[in-house]
Amino acid sequence: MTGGLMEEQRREWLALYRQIREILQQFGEEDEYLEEKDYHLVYDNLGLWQHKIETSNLEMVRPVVIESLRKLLAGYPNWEIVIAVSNSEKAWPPMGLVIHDDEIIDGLQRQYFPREFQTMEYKGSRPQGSQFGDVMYSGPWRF
Amino acid sequence: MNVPWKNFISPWWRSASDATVRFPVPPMPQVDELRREPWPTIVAQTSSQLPALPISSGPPQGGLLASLNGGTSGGVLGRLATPIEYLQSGRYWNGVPAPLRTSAGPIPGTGYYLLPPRPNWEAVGTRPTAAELSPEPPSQSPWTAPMGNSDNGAWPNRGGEARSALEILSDVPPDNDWIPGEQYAGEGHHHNPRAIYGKLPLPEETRKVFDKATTGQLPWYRWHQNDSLHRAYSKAVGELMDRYIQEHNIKPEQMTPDQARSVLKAIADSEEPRIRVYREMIKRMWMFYRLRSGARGSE
Repeated sequence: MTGGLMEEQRREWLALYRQIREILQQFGEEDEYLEEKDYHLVYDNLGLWQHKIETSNLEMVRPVVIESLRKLLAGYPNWEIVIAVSNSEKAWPPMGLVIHDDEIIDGLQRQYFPREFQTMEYKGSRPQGSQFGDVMYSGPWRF
Repeated sequence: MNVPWKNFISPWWRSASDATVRFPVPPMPQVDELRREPWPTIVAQTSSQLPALPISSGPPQGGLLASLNGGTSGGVLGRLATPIEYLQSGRYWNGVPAPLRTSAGPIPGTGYYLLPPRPNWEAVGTRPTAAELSPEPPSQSPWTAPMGNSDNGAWPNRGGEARSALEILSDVPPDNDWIPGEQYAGEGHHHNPRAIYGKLPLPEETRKVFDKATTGQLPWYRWHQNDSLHRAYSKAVGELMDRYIQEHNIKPEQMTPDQARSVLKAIADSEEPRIRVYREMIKRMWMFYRLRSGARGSE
C-alpha cells in the first residue's frame, strides 16, 4: 500500500470510527472495560478498509440500525462495516452482516434467533453465499 | 459456568504476599524501542532476556519443513516458525507449564471454536528459575492496604473505604466524545486494547508504553471473520490487567512503564484461550502479509 493510500485509509478509518460510534450510541451502550454491554466497536486499525462491530444483542442488528450504517457508507464506497453476531451461552455459529454502501450481505442464521427477530429483512440485501466471492465471508481465517 | 482458564495467569506474577523474596529484574527495553515495531519484533524484544531453549534433545529431523522447528535460521519457511518462547511461554514461569488444551472446543463469549491444541514441544535443557524470571515484586509504596485487610485488590479512598479498580473507573464521568489514544489510530493492533488501558488513569509515561505497543498496520484490503474474537480478547486482557493491578497492590495511577511492559509480556505469552486465539489470528495476518508483500527480516 502506498503512503498516500495508507494516509487516506488512516484518515477515513478515524472519521468513520467516530461516525459509527455516534450512530451506535443512539441504539445501545458500548462495552465498558470488563463489562459487556450491547456492542463492541473494534478500536484497532489494522489497515483494512473495514470497521467491525461485535455484538450479542440482536437489537443492534435491527434494520433501522443497519440502514443508518449503510447510509453512512454512502460517502465511503471503499469501505465496509462487518457486524459479527454471537451468543456464547447458546453457542451460535459465527454469523454476521457485511454492509457496503450499495448492498448488505446477510449471513444471519435466523433459525437461532428468538421468533421476533426471525423475520428481520434488510433493504438492498442479498443472502451470503449468493455470489461466489462470498466464500471469503463464510468462515474463520478467511480473507 | 465453569471457566477453567480463570487462573491461567495466576502463576505469572508473584503476588504481593510473596514479596519477601526479591528477584532480579531483567533490563527492559526503552519506550522508544517498543514503538511501532511489528508483532514478532515485539515478542522477540520482550523475550530476548530468556535463554534459548532447544526444542529437541536429539538432532533435528530431516525433511523440507525441518527448519520450521528451528524458527531461527535457514529454510524458506524458517521465518514462519512460531518462536519457541511462544510455544513454551508458560514453562518460563515458576516451572509451571501453562495448561494446554487437549481438545478443540467453543470459546465462551466468542461463538468461536478453538483450533486443535498445539503439540507439546518438550524442551530440554536448563530452564530459568522463577527467581531469575519473575518480575520484580512491587516495592513498598507510600500506599499500603488497610490494616488487617488481606484483599490485595482493594485500596483506601479518601473516606477510608476499600474500593476496587472498577469502582474507581465508575467515577470517571462518561465522555463519549473522547477516543483514547486517538493519535495512534493507524498503528495496527494494540496488544493491550485501547478500550482497556484507555479507561484507566495511568501515568502518561505508562500510557505511552501501551500506546506504542502495536503490530503496525497489516494493510489487507479485506479480512473477514464473523466472530467476536476482539471483544473476547479485550475482556480477557482487561481481566489480566485488573489482576496484575490487584496482585501488585497498586492503583492504576501508580503503574510504572516497566510494569506496563510486564503486562505486555504477559499478554504476549498468555495461553489464555481468548487471548491466544486472537493473537494467532493477528500473527497469521502478519505472516500472510509478509508472504504476499515479500518483506523479509527487518526490511
